[in-house]
Amino acid sequence: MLQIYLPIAEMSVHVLLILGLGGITGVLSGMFGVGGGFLMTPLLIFIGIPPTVAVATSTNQIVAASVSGFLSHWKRQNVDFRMGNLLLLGGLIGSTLGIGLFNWLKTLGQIDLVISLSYVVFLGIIGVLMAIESSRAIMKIRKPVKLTHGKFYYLAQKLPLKVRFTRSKLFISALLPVGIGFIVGILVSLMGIGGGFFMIPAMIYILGMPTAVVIGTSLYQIIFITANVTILHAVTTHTVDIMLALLLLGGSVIGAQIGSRLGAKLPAEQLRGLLALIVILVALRLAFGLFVTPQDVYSLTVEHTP
Amino acid sequence: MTRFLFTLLLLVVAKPALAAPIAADISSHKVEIFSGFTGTSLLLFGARNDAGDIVVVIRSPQQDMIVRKKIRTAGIWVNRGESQFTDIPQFYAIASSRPIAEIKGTELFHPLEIFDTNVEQEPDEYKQALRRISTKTGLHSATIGEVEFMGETLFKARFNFPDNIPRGTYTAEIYLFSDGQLSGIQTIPIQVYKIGFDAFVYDAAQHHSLLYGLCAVLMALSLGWFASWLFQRI
Repeated sequence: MLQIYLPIAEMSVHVLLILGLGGITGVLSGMFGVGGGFLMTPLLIFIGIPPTVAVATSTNQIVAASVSGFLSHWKRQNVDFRMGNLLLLGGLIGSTLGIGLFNWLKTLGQIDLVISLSYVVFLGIIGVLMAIESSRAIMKIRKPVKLTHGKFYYLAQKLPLKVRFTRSKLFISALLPVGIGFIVGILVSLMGIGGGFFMIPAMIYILGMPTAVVIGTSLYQIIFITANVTILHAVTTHTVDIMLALLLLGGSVIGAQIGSRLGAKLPAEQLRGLLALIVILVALRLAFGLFVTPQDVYSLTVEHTP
Repeated sequence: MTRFLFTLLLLVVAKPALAAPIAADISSHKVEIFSGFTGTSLLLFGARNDAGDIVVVIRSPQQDMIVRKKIRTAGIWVNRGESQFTDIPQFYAIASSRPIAEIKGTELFHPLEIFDTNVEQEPDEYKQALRRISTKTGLHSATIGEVEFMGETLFKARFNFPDNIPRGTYTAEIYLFSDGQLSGIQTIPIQVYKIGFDAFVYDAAQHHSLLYGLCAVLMALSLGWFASWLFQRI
C-alpha cells in the first residue's frame, strides 16, 4: 500500500517512484552542482504527471534545493548580493511576464508543446556544447582560454547606469544583469527550472564574473525567482502539488548528499561528459514524443468553472 | 436555467396527470471521493402510479469543454483545430425501461438528446471525439442502462460512478412517459465531493490559492534550511 494520491495532479503514484525520481535528480545536482530542475520536469512528464503540474511543482521543489545550496555558499562568502539583487530585479519582472505567457499559451492549448519544445531546443544546444567541451578536455586539446574580456565587456562599458560590484571586481552597467535576469526569468516560468543552467554561463561569459562567486550568486536569486513563480502558479494555474513537492524534496535532499560525496571522488572532465550525455538523452526523449504519432489526435479539456 | 424553464413548461403541459405519478429515491444521496476511491454504484428505486415507461438520467453540473485536434506540422504534432462545447455534463448516464426510440414522446425531449445516438453516426468529428473520449474514461455511459420493473409499479436501476468523476451537485431525473406524453417527473440531487486530507489540499489550492502558494514556498524554504542544517551534523 505504497500508492499515494496526488491531490492536484489528481492521480495515484507509487511513493518509491517519486522518491527515487527526487533521489536521482538530487544525486545529479549534488554531483554537478546544478539545480536538477531541467531533469525533474521532464521525468515527471514521462511518468504521466500533467506538464503544467510538473512545471509548477518542480519550481516549488527548487526553492528548497536552492536554499540548501545558497546557505553553504553564503558561509564561504561566495555571494555578490548587489549583482544578485539586480539579476533578481530583472528575474522578477521576467518570471511574472512568463507566467502571463504560460497562461496565454494554456488557453490556446499550446502550453504542453511549448514546454517540450523549449526543453528540446535548450537542452539540445547546451548538451551538445557541453559534450564538445568535455571531449576536448578529456583529449587534452583544450584551446588556451583567453582571460581577457570578451566582446560583451565593451558593450557593458558603453551602456549607461554603471555600478561598481566590489565582490565581483566589476564596474559595469546595471542594465546587463537586469536584462539577463529578465530573459532567464521567462524560462523559469515556462520550463519549471531554476535557470542556473543559463544563468551561470551568462554570468561568466557575458558579465565576466569570477567563477568563485557565480554559483552562490545564482542560487541566491533563484530562491526568490522560484518562490515568485511558485506563488504565481498557485494563484493563476492552481497546479502546485504540495504532496508531490514534498515527496520529491525528500528524495532530492538525500540524493544531493550522496551526489556531492560521489562527485568529489570522480574526475571532473568525465563527470561533465556524463552530464552532457544525460542532457542530450533527455532532449532526445522529449523530441521523440513530439514526432511520434499520438494514440489519439483528439484531446478533451474541461474548462474548470469556479 | 433554460432546462429548468423547459421542465416547468412540460410540467404545466402534463398537468392533467396524477398529483404524484412517480415516487423514487436513491440508495445514497452522496458520493464521497476518498484517497483510495475506485468508483461506486448507486441503486435508484421507485414506484409509478400510472402505466408508462420510465427514463432516468443522472448528470453532473454542466461545464464548457474544448476538443482539440493534433495535426502533423513540420514533422511534429501540434494542436491545430479546436471546437468548443458549452454546457456539457462531464458525467452523464441514462437508463430506460424500453429502448428510447420505442418510447413515444421522447423524440422532442431535450434533456435526453445529448448522448443517446450512435457514436459512429455522428457527422461532426469533434463531437464524435468528445463522445468517444468521454465514453472511454467511463464518464458517459456507452450504452443505455436498463430500468427493471418488479411487478406493475415498482422499478429499479443501477448506476456506476467511475473513480474519475468530477465533484459537484448531480441530479437524478426520473421521467414517466405515458401514451406519448410526459406524465411525471422527479429530480433528486446527489452530492459528489472529496473527503479527507486530499480534499483539504485541493480546496486550499482552488479557493485560498495565495495562502496555499505562500505555504508551499514556506514549506520549501524551511525544509531546505533544515536539510542543510541536518547534513552539516552528519
